[in-house]
Amino acid sequence: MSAVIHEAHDDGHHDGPPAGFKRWLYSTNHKDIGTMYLIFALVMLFLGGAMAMLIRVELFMPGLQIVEPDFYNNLVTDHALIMVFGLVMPAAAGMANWMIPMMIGAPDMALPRMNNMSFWLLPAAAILLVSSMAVQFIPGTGVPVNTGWTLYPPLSVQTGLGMDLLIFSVHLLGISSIMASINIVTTILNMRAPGMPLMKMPLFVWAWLFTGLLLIIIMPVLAGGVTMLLFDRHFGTSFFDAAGGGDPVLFQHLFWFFGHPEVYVLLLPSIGVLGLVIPTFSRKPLFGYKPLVFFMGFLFALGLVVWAHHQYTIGMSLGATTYFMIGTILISIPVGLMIFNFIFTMWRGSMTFETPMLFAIAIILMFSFAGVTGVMLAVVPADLQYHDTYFVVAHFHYALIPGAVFGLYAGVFYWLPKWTGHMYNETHGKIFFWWTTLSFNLTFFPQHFSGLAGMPRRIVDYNIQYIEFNQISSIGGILFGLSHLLFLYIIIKTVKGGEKATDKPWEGAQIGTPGLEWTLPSPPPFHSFTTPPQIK
Amino acid sequence: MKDNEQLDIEAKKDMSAANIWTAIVLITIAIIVGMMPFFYLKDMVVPG
Repeated sequence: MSAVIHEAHDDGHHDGPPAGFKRWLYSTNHKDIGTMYLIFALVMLFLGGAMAMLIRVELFMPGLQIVEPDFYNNLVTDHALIMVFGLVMPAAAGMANWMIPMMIGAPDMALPRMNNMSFWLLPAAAILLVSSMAVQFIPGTGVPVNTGWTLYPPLSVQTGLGMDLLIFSVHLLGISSIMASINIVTTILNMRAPGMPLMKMPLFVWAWLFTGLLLIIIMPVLAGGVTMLLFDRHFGTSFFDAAGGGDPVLFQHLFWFFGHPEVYVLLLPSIGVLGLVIPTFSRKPLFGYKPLVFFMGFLFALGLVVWAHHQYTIGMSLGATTYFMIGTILISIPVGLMIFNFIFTMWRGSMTFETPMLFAIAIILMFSFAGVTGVMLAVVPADLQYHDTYFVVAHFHYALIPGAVFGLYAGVFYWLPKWTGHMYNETHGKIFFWWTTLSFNLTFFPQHFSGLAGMPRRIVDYNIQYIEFNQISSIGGILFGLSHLLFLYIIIKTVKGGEKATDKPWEGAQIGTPGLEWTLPSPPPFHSFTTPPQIK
Repeated sequence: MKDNEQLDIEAKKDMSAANIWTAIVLITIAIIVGMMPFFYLKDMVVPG
């Protein structure tokens, strides 16, 4: 094989991208596939965001306003699935595709054809997901998917055809994630340039190594769980049916064995972005690189064994409950230490506050807030009060929007000059930052209070006593949604033109980490490294 | 146009076999973990 390839070498063919749709459909180029992931995530951001805005419009007033209860719960379900599987994971995978080979000096991903398939499964999964929502408008297809993203039986066994489409969608999403993770882990382990040991890799690469391994362990469990659900629905099994000797609580364990580490899957790539952005704009090496890698490993391991803190109300034994409570509280140690590492990196640095850095600082502040409410929720007797209230909704939106989505925004603004060859408009970037940050807090901060006052989640109507909190949330939600039109404008404007970006557009880039991406032109050539880069 | 395998070989030693074996190990782990719910967990989870 290799002999044949050598014979075909140097035949004068050009090295540019193929023309037309084949460039994208058949692409095995990591940058093109990364771009497709990012565009897909952007489309899903607007789809899932539109659903969220519809939810907030409905909740502006108590009583039924514009949607039916089952459709409302369908919106809640699909909003979550789209944001988790359609936005955050593909956007993080897009950044991994773009940046990891360039950071470690690899010519491309280790398994480029599998990379192509990983991406192209996503649009198919998205079509199934949207179909699962649309099918309710066809008579005779049963109740819409009204379970929430957790898909708990017995409700999920009783819903209509939409649930089957959703299960197949989750299968495709799972296959796509597993293949992408295998590719990324293999690339990191095998394709590093000579002179780049694991402990010299940029933190973003480490973050994705742990993320990839986590996904390989957890996604098959979700796939197994929803397959058992499918069997219960159509093939007469009773995995989750107490009448047939099964147990619906089993599904909760399977789901949360996936669902809790999934939080870290969403979070870790953003921590990796912070590990690049904060040293760059503080102009100081990362404080405690090795401990940060260790803390991420600790988070990886601990995250796998604390899932049942989502299920305190099911009636577990005292021993199990205590174990899950202590384990969950322990997670605050590595997360807190990571935050201290980032603060110490900024300490006495020559800081400037470009848009990526503003997002990084906002993440530290707001994600810490989610950490505090997380410890509150980890404590069993307290959680029994907070469970299934808007307090939980506020907590996980504070964890995931700053923790994951703002990290992605920081990454987009940090790498946009490298990807496009143009600098974005810094004033527009800062307006976007303040607009999103203020409107995000306006949306979700009041939900802590409505939750503590007892407002239940996933219900279309609410008691009139919660009206003020909900109206503030709804106004914030609409503003938060609209801010993304500016985000879209900034991206399109930067792609189309603007001030030319240098190879290293940020003065402090590459301080402390030997990432090789800044040694390439902006934008990089179609094939990044045709000869192995040398790392000094 | 050069394909990715060709560029791999230009860039450094051929890692194709190592890549495929790493992928096989990882996918084996994924399959084992995915099958576990069917064979083990059903009897392990008892509500308190």
